[in-house]
Amino acid sequence: MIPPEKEPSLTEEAPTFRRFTGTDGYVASRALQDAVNVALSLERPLLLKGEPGTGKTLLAHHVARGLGMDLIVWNVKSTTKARDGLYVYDTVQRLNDARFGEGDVRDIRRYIRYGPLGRAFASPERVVLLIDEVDKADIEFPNDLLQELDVMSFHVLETDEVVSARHRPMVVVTSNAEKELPDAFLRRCVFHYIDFPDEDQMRAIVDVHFPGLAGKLLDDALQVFYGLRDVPGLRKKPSTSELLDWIRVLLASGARLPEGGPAAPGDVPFLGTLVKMEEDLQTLTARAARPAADVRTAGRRFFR
Amino acid sequence: MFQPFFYTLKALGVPVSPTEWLTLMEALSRGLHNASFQDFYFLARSLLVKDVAHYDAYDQAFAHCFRGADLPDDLATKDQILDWLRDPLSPLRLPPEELARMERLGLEDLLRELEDRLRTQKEAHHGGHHWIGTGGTSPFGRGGSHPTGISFARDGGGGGGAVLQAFERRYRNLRHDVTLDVRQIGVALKRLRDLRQDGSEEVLDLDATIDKTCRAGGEIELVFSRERENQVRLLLAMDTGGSMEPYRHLSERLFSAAHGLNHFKDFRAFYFHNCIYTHLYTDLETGDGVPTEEVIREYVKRYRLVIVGDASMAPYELLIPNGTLERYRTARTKGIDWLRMLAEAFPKRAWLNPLSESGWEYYDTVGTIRGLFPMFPFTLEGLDRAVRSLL
Repeated sequence: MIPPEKEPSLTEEAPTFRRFTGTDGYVASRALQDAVNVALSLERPLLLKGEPGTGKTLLAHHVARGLGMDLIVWNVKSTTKARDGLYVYDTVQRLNDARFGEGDVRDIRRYIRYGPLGRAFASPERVVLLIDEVDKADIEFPNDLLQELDVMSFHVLETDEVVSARHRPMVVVTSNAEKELPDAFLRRCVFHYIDFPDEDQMRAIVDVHFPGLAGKLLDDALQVFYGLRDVPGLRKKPSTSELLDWIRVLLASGARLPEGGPAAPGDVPFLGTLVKMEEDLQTLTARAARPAADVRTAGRRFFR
Repeated sequence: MFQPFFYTLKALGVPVSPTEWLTLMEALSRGLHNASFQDFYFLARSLLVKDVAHYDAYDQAFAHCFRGADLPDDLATKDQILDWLRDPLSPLRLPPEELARMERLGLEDLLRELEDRLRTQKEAHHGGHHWIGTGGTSPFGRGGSHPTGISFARDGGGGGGAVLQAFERRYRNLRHDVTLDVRQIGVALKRLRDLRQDGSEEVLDLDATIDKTCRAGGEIELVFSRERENQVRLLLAMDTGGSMEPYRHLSERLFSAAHGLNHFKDFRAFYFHNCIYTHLYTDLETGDGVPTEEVIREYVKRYRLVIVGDASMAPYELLIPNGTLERYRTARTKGIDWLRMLAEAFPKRAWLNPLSESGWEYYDTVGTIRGLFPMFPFTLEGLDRAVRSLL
């Protein structure tokens, strides 16, 4: 069933092909490494999903670092348009220059500003392009990018020039799954869901950030941490980045964790580092007595 | 060599497309699986599965194809389908010679054949023919027991229900007609907007700037305008449980679409059982709720109200006091009066009914409620009409 055994000769087939194996600052699971390498080799966007704080955005930074490529970040917001990523024609600057006689106004090219995607295409080297939180934007946003990501080129209307990528950038797309992405977009992606790390992986991750952190503190901290994550009904479960912050505070303050695990949320030092929503603090302190719903705030929670 | 894997994935409901399959073949030909079984597993998963919800199905298919594991019991196999067809309670009653012919077909052909039959039934159904009583000539003996979902099952009975369920499961993936997914609902809801200039003056109005600059003889005059914002506030009330259970996924999708869209000025969701009485509920599990009167007072006029429900109930549930089926609650006010109060409080309102439009006439209560709420079928087309009426 498995294709015949054959030594893979990746380097011979694609001389520029490099492998990502994680960096000293990022622990990547085998599955994640494979996904990155597949995306690199097939030159397709890598779509990452997963709980907040599992290192989706960080991965792009470390892929860039691990492979020695430049990173271009495109932070997507609710108002972001696909066009913004390509280029912006700075009319106001041109008007201004025309008024005050500065610069060469006749050369429209001086007023075309490339967006992140445009810069990634125009770069002389292969770069990593991070399209962060793609689901924040309008529901049609991913579809509007399909053509550009497929052929890796776009047309600048004002100058009638075509900008095409010299080296297809390694595109990393992250999503928090707030909106469903269009099928056509999904079909072109390599997909990976970053699982929440289990305790062993978490130890490895903590070790990267705090080398040689001694056993007892780490054991206790992880016990409290995974205990908190198991509390039902938390709206925002503490994530890896919060655990790391918390350990940093614990170390800095020299605070001790209560023996035998905390009995009440109040026993956990610096709980605010782990649990950030007022509502979750309430859930923790009073899990038994639920306050009655208020009509002004009601109707926001449903189908959890 | 991997073809069975592709079909197993499809059978288990993973939406794999040929494009993705070809990409996998390309990746394999480049040796990206590193001649390692584990890497092949990850490689194929990253290319074929685009939703974590399908990871489990992928695992099952993978284990089945490469490790000979058993497939889950509920997956339709040819034998199972034929068993269903032979079952006297099956909604599809076939003559023995038909059955014998079907036994000779392969799984794919068999499914295709069944699908064709469903489609013809659907069209004919929409054409207004009466299916009841045409037993002799039609393979579909009983009125309206549409195996793909909507059933006005006159007499449920445990066995019959299970058969329907099994059919629903199997055919879900074969339907080519529109099933609403979150995205489609989202796209439809996007049209529900009332853009007004709102917020601070921070967007450069280019046309006005150029115009004004020219009028000022080249002196730059920047004109800023306000960002336009959607002013629509949406209140969603969903019937849950009981007769609405088969449509639960539709309500959930509508909810997640409206919630995830980030499109409305405000969006609130409540649920109710059967008909709206004294309370609207906010939490499915704990039954937390708020009095309907307060909801009306708080949200009156400014919100658009969308109710999702089948509007089909026993007349007394709607028309007499204490008609509520909810235990521990008594209500002096009739269900119809609550609905009337809501209708009066919300001039812009719509009722989405998951029952197909042709079945509405069978329930008196549907007609009564239609008098108060403009009612639309909960389909893509119906949703479009509802959105237009809400504008």
